[in-house]
Amino acid sequence: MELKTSKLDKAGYKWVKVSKMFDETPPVTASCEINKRFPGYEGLWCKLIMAVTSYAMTKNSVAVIHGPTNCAWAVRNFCSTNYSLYYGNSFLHMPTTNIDQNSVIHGGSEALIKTLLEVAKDYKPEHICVFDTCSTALIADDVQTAINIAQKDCQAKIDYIPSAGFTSIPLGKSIEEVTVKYADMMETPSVILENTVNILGQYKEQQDSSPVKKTCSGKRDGSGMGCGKGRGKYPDDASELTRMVEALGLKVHRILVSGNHDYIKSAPQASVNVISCPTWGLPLAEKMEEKFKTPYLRHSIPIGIEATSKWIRELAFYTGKHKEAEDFISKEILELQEIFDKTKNLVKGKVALIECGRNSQTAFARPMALARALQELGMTPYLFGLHPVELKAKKIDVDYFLWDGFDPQILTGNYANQQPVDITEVVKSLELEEGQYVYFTQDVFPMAKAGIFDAENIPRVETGVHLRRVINAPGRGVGFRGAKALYQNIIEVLKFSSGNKKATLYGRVHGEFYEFGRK
Amino acid sequence: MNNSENIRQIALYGKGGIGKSTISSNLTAALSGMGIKPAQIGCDPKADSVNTLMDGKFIDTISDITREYGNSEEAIQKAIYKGFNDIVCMESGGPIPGQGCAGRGVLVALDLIRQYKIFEQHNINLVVYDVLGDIVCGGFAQPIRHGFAEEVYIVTSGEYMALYAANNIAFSIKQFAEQGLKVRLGGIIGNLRNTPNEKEIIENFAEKLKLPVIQMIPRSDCVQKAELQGKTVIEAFPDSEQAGVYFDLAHKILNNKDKFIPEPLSKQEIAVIARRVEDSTRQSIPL
Repeated sequence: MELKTSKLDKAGYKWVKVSKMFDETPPVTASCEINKRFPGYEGLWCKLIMAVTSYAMTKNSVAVIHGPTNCAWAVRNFCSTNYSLYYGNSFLHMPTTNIDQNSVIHGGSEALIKTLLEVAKDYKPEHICVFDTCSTALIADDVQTAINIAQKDCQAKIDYIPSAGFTSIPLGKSIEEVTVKYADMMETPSVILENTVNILGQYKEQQDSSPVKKTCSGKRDGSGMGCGKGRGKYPDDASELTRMVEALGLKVHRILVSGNHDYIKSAPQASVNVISCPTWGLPLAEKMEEKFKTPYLRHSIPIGIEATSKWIRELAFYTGKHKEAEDFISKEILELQEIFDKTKNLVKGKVALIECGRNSQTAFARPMALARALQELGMTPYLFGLHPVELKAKKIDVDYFLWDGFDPQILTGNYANQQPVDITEVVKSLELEEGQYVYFTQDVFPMAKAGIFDAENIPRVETGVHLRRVINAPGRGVGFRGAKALYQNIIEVLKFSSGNKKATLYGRVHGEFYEFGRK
Repeated sequence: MNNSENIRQIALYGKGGIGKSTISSNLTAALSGMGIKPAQIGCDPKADSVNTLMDGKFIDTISDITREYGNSEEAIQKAIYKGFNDIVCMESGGPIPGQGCAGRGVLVALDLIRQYKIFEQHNINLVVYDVLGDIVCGGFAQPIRHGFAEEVYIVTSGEYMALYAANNIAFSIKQFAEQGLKVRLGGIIGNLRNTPNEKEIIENFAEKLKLPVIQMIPRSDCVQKAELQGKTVIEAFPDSEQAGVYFDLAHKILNNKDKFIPEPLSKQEIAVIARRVEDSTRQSIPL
């Protein structure tokens, strides 16, 4: 590959440690401030969107948005396209109180009470959650009093998640602020169930999803092996975390956020919380510790052998299952050793170029966990494609990885107009030659904007967050089985990139599994 | 139909309970007897500005009407009343205390009046906006924003809190003037409570703000007696000395061509005035 000075260098981009990029990025204040330093940044979100979206994982529930109907438009669109159509979650009804100017002048409490009673009558949900908007918060509508009044004539439990943002905030911040509110829906337990574990920050309880149950005729066992012949070689996170928990003689009590209201409110009965994703899980874990004294694991996103082993040992620390943990770790590592060594021999000394996202839905914790796993294979990880403002909003994730002693290099710059950086420029900026790197992409169609990049000769591992959560789709899953899937995928793409073959689009993206019989 | 450019619009601001509504009603009543066709708009959710012009009746507010019938011109007509001497009376109205947004109510009501050219339709020459206490938010500044009143009178007594509120209003007017709004202060109206050295205190305060005192209105039993009848002093006791004071005020405002950008006092300067008020109250010595 031709080596020239990268355009990224000229545009002021540079490679720094994650901690430095975090420290050098100013706190998010107003969008005009952001625009000065990061022109065209479009990653700010309405807090209401993530508030309702997080609730969309609960079952038999209705979200009542207290505000103008227009406020619900984007929420409905996001929830229905992303979380219902795409991830297969059940549809969440989200009527509004249809606040208009008259209600702003006279107060909207009356409209809220009326709506709650109508919702209870028409939908007959098990649970109703009220989300307020900027307009109703600005006039200081007393939402809780309105709920108390409506509750007298309503069987469904009604809760309230304050969700007026007033200013846009990055996605990560929005999630942090909302997920802690689930602790308010929980009840103080009369008894703690011994040897039980909650998984927090896992917002899809895939074992329970109706498409899977239907496909598997109820035979899916959560092992990650799926139910159809040749399908499901990559376990979903919930399945693998459950498998590891059960391997220690423990039982998964609740996976949050999911389930119905009874499921959520009884979560504090568990003896310990484990965290799948820090942004989604850690604030809730901290709140549950404060409110119900439930201890929680610090380790999270266990991708790779070492990270998974640490996660299991920390779980053993809280449950006393030390022997079971060591036995399980030894057995699993023994099974993985061959493929681990084979993968390591192939990639040791290479650079891992890890893309964090190509739009405003960037990811940080998952690519960081992947980078940690790749470092274990002897690779040198470099992350790119993460807007500094997005990183700033991921303080919880940053703190976790720094606490774990992991602080890799990341590409910092202004990421003007939220444009993804060109992989060829990333390669040039590190003065890499063909064969010296593996590209870990973060999109379904990574080649869409990289015209001069040769798709067939570059080993490219798909890590897309979107595909990962579709049942049976490949992804970089957690735990030992997730590690195995990762190693298999790396071997496949390295093999493919060295061959002189024409691939199908899905084959290029996903590897051998989608080659439809070609070898 | 009168042209909007020919309509003089003034706003009365001042501390809550200082007597703005009483002065506004007597002012419009006096003006109506001087060949002027005035309108009075109450800009307070209490909606009690015009009731002495309406024989003590409380009228339906614009806010009530739009809530029930919508924002059409036909609906707004239901909120227009004619009181003493055919004075056009309206109340912006607003929420019950502790709910909603009163400022938004004022803003919307005035926008509707402008949208449907209510003043022009009724050939109004002069509009008096009687505004709630202070400029507490954007809604209560609406009467002095673009297209509404460009002439403000501050009502105050010689009591410290009334002066404090008056100074805050002067501060807002100065800010608006600096932002390019045409709003100016016409002067100060002293509504006397018979506290020691009250006239001197008000005059001293006005001088510091570089504003004229347009009129001192003495305390009079006539006012309460008239209000108990649901009338203005002008209507109930037209030959009284107090009615003469209100006619004087109407003449002075009608002929006032001077408009000022005030020089509000700092908090420290206001504190000095407070101490002097306190001293004069105890010792009854001149300032």
